[in-house]
This record gives sequence, structure tokens and C-alpha cells, in this order.
Amino acid sequence: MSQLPKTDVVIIGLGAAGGIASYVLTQAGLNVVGIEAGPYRSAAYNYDHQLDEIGGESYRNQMGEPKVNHEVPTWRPNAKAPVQPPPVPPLLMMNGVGGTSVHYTTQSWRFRRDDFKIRTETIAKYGEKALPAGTAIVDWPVTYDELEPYYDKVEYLIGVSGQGGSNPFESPRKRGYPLPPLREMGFRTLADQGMKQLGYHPFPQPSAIISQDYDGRPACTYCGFCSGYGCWNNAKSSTLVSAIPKAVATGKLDIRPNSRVMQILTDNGGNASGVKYLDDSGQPQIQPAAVVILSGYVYPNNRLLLLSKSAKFPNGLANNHGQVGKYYLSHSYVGVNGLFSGKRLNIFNGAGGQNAVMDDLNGDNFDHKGLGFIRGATIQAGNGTLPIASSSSIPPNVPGWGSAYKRWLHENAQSVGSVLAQQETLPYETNYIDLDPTKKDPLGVPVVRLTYDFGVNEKRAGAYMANKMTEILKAMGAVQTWPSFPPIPIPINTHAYGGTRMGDDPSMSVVNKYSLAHEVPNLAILGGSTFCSTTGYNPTETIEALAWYAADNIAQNFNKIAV
Amino acid sequence: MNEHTSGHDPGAGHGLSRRRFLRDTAVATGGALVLGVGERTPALVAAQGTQAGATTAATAAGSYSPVALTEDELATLKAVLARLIPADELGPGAVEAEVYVYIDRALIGAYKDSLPLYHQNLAALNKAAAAQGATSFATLSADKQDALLKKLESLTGTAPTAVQGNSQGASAATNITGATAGFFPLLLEHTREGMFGDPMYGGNKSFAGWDLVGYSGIKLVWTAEEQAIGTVVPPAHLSDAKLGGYPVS
Repeated sequence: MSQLPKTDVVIIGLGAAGGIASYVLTQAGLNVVGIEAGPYRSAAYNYDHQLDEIGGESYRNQMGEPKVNHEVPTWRPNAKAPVQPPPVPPLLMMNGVGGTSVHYTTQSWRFRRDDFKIRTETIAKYGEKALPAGTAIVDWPVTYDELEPYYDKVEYLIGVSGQGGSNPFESPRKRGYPLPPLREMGFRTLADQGMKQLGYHPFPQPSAIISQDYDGRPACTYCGFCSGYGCWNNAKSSTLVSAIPKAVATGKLDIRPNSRVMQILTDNGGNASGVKYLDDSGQPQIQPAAVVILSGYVYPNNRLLLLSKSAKFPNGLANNHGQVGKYYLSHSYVGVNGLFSGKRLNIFNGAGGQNAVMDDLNGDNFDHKGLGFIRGATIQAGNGTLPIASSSSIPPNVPGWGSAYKRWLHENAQSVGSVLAQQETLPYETNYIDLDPTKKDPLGVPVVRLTYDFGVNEKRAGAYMANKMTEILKAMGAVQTWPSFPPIPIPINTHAYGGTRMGDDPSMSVVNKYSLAHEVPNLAILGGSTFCSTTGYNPTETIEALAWYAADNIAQNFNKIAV
Repeated sequence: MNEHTSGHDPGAGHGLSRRRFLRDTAVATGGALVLGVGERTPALVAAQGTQAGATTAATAAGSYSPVALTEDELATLKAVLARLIPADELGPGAVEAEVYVYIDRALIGAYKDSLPLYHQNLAALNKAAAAQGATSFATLSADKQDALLKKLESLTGTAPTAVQGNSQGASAATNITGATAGFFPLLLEHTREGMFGDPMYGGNKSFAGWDLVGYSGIKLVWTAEEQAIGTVVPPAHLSDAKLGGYPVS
């Protein structure tokens, strides 16, 4: 094992969060080593992404190699139940420079002011008894107004398309988006009309796909291989094509792809001193650093902390208060399909951000009195159907095989449209992450185990959203509707959060508002693992804004934070 | 694993960017170009009134030599596929689309863990056919094949892979000794992947699956008109293989 020269900052995982941090820190003149488990799929390597439904995310998860596919978490619904197959097959991330921003759907949201004040606002409006039993709902330690400038910086750096002011519920913006919304396609118009007919306020989905040429990259061509696919012409604003090339251009970012961090090291004082990793030939290396940034997905973030035990941290790094792994969260989805007989909807194409979307039933944008649940969901209608997926979108009265199945598909496959709710789920004391006592990855390292289930709040909200979406589909002209996705827990998810929650109190959280660990002041933890709540929104733009906020703090106070 | 995914540089096998010239062309023409038109394969050859069931399975045997299954198992699988998505006046079925090639190849690659399930359940179907006096599942009448498949489908248990689809229920009282709960949903999912996935994986021959659901095939550029409701988009019949893509194992 060799000890490499010390660097200012080592970043573990160059995804959405690590990519933004690498940009901010190198712009500030710091030397950064970025260690990434997956490959470097850059234009410099002439890398092209597949346009292939089988190889993509849902079936073979080609991009989940070499790591994600081999360390899939285990799941059990509660601490007394055995580990068992999850009710929904695992939804998985990918590996590589740029992380899952390379193949994400690109819905690029700011959270709203009340999302950061969820506890205070809920109690103010409905009283303390409205907080469901067993929940651990807290306000975030950071506010929307503190993050607004960073949302703005992210939108202009990576290129986000949208229409400021089109969502009547959005919190104040300093200025509009750098790019107009993606094209309004036929199905969006239809959904707009249906939602408006019911008194809702649909608007074009804000998306991290460029609708026009931007920053040297060409505009989206609406190919349809979008959610779960790398972008063929780099119109998708991943950190791989936006932030990271600018960091590389400074000469201060040393990217080490295909390299896997095994442990975060600490010195005798309990500060982070660097990382031990396996390099691209499998050889162990030690990379010392003055500041360590852990910016993987929720599962590897929690896993690496729990694995990094030492005399000072016998239960895992930054875990002397027993908070690592707590308050595990996972988004829920509820979907309804509609049949628009005789209409060719033309949705076997398009970008992940071409949706009609509405915020009317999200957060506390509607009165919950008498409903029996708090919070809500964003509701969207969009495109991007591909043939294999379409072959399973059949109503309950149609058989799943045989002549009748074939005839139904032939007549209707182009006429099925769906509406989807992305539902906020609440933090519970009983939902958590730990190391699985038996399952290990091919290197012999334990995978994480998820203990996770719904509460009554999630079930009631899901049923409510399913009814509302059925109404929307009927207003759009659907002649038949049926559930595409029932309101059930999704234990292993690409929208998972928590385990290293942020907060002001070290006995109830792992990091502070600047994402620095309470117990290890030169260790920053970035990504969804720091979230206090899920909100009804997609997380990536908030992950990126928080990463920028954290990296700004490190750059400005480097001499105080560095060890 | 193959040269594209095993090395440190996943793009090394591609040489020059295979889509760069297409991108430049698309931009130059304002995005209105339907790419790959010059590479269209011949129009789909419709199956001419092919009878489903035993006849199809017995006569559709091509030159394909299985790599995971035995010849006998392949024959049984073909007979099953002929019932899952039959050939009829709407066009080719799963056998004509060579979905069995897709499945057989996958069973030494991405789905190799499922191979024992195929061994076990294809044998169980033949054994159940023998109990009815037939020499194999493939020689049963279509009605009797369907009855056995409904029975297989009705076995409940945790599916190895969740699949959306609607059970036809079991109307036959026939028993299938040795069959596995959860195999049928897996088989149905693999069948749909082979029928409707990219032809470079061995199925969806002549784009039969894409034509069935009205999908044009890969187009890098979709125009506003093509995204409008009602526009009929003619088949481009383009596989990702024509753009340098490769089957992921």
C-alpha cells in the first residue's frame, strides 16, 4: 500500500453533489482529488450512450456496473421481520463520473419555503397532534432564502430549462431560468387542459435538459431514450458535461475513475485524514487530505461511515451519537393509466422534462383539514414510453398473453397515457439503515440493510392522489382508467434519503447546515443522505444547491476547517 | 462483460464517436431529418395465416442452435411462445420474431441465474403433457397448451421479477408437478423483452414487435409535428446496432 502526496480535498464520488463541489473548490484554487467507483464516460473518450431499452436502467442496468448492481441493499419491513424480497424490484443508481446525473430524468426543482419549515408550518396550521405517531419530523437547519442564490447558480451553471413564475406556488426567484421550457408536445397540452378543467394550475416541468444550444452543447432532440439513459448528444445537463469539465480545465481536479474507497481514515484527534481506496488496478492506496468530502448516494454514504470504525469511532465514523442510518426515507409513487381510444398520443419519444406538472396537491398547498394525512405530491403527465414498458401497460380486463393480448396491444398501445404522483413520505423512528449481518459484496464487504415501511399517512395520501389522478385522466378524455402503480412502499429506490440527516443538534442529526459532520469537523457529507424530508419534488437540484453551499463554506473557511 | 464494459475506458472500443456525424447532420438540417432512413431493413414480412400452436412450433424450426437450453427444451419453449404471443392476421408472433433466441442467449448471460428455472419448468410442462398422453407439450392442441399455461400462471408465490400483467386464472384442473411459482411472470417478462426490445439482442426479428405496438424504431430526432397527437410516424426500423450499439450481457 502506498501513501500518495496529501491533497487539499478528497471527494468520494463524483456525481451530482461531488461534481458541483469539485467545480466550486477548484474555482477557488484548491487542489482536489476525485475518487469515483465507475468509469469516466467523457467526450474525450468518444463515449456514446446506448439507445437500448434492455440494456438501460430498468432491465439490465448496464450503467450500474461495476459497483451498484453488486451491492444492492437488503430489506425488511420492520426490525422483527426477516429480510425478504421487496414489494417493488430494486430501483438502482449507476456508477461513473457524473454519477446518476448522467442518466436521470432531469426534473430540476427548487424546494419551497415551507418544505424547509415542515414541522413549524404543520404545527402552526393543524396543531401538534397533526404530526402522525412515530414520526420524527423536523425543520431543516437551512432556509429557502439561504439556498436561493445557490439554486440560481446551479441553474445557470448546468443549464436548466423552465418558465419562472409559471407555478403559482413557487417561492420567490431572483430571476428566471436560463433557458425556456422544453417543447410542449401534444400529450402535455391534453394534460394541461384536463388539469385546468378541474381548477388546477399546470405548468411546464423545469428540467435539466437544455431546450436550446447552451454553453457549447446542442439542444435536446427528443429521442425518447431519456429517463434511465445517458444522453446521446449531451443535452442532458449532467455534471459530467457541465460542472466537471470546467473543474478539469482548472488543472486542479485529479479524477481517479474505477477506484473504490474502502475506508475514511482518521487521525489520533478524531479528524478525517484521508481515504484508503483500491485503485483502477485493484491496488490499495492511501490518499491523505486536509478535508474529506463523502458524496456518494444514500446507501454508500451510510455504508462507508458504518464501515469506517476506529478507536475514536467504535460504531462507525461520525456515529458516536448513534445517528448514522436513522430516519431513512424513500419517495413513493402512485400512478394511474388512461386509455384514449382511437387517439395516437405519440409519447414513445421525448425528454424526461416535457411533462405537464402541477403543485396544487403538493406540500401544504391545499387544505388538509378532515383528510387524515399531512403533506402531498407533485402530479405529472408526460412521455418517454418505450415498447417493452408499453407492453405491460394493459388494463385489468385484458389478458396478459395470447391472441386477445396481442390484439389489444395492436389497437391501443399508442393510446395509453399515464399520470403519476410523486408523494412525500415522512421520517419515522422505525425506518433506518444498518449493515446487513450476512449479505456481502464480491469484495466481502457487508451491504446495507434497510428497515422501512409506510405509515398510515402514506397510505391515506396515496389513495387520495390515486382518486385525484383518475379524475384528471377522465377530464383529459380517458375512456378507461386503471392503476399503473399502487401506493406501496419502495424500499430500494433511486429517490432514497436520510441516514446522515442535517440539523443543529448533534443528538438528533449527523451534519450541520453546511453539511459538515458534527463529530468530525473536516468531513463533509453531501447528497440525499443529509435530507430531513423528501418533499414531493425530485431531489437533484437541491442536492446540487446544498453541495455548492457546502463547498463555498469550505473554500471560504478552508484554513479553519482543514486539518 | 465485453470490451465495452470491462476496461477502464468504456468508450475505447468505439473508435470515432459513432453518433457525432449524426449529431452534426441533425443540427445542420434543423433537426427535421429522420435519421437512419437509408438503413431501413425491408418491410416486415407478415406471417401469412400461420396457424398457432403445435404446427407453428413444429415447422418454424430454423437453423438456430441453442446455447443455454437443449434442443428439446428449445422446442418446448417455442411451443410456449407460440401461445403467449401467437402469429395471426395481425402479424408475426413471438416464435416468428425469434424471441426464443433472445431468451436462450440471455440464459447464458444476464439471466444465467434463471437457467435452472427454465430447465425445471419446461420439463414440468412436458411431464404434464405426458400425463395427458402426449409425447411433449409441443404436440398438445393449442387449447390444451393454453390450459396448462393458465395453470402455470395460477401458481402463486413471490415472483423473482415483478411484472405487470393480468392473470388469466386457471380454468383447467390439470396439475403441473415440479413447476415453480413465479416462473410464469418471469417468462412473460422475458418474452415481452424479446418481442419488444432492440433486435440486436436476437428477438424482435424484422421489427415485428415494434410494428405491433406502432413504434417507429429509434429516431434520434423527433419533430414537433411527430410529437403532436394523431401524427402517424412511419417505421424507421432502426436498431441501435446500426448506430454502433451492442447487446449488454
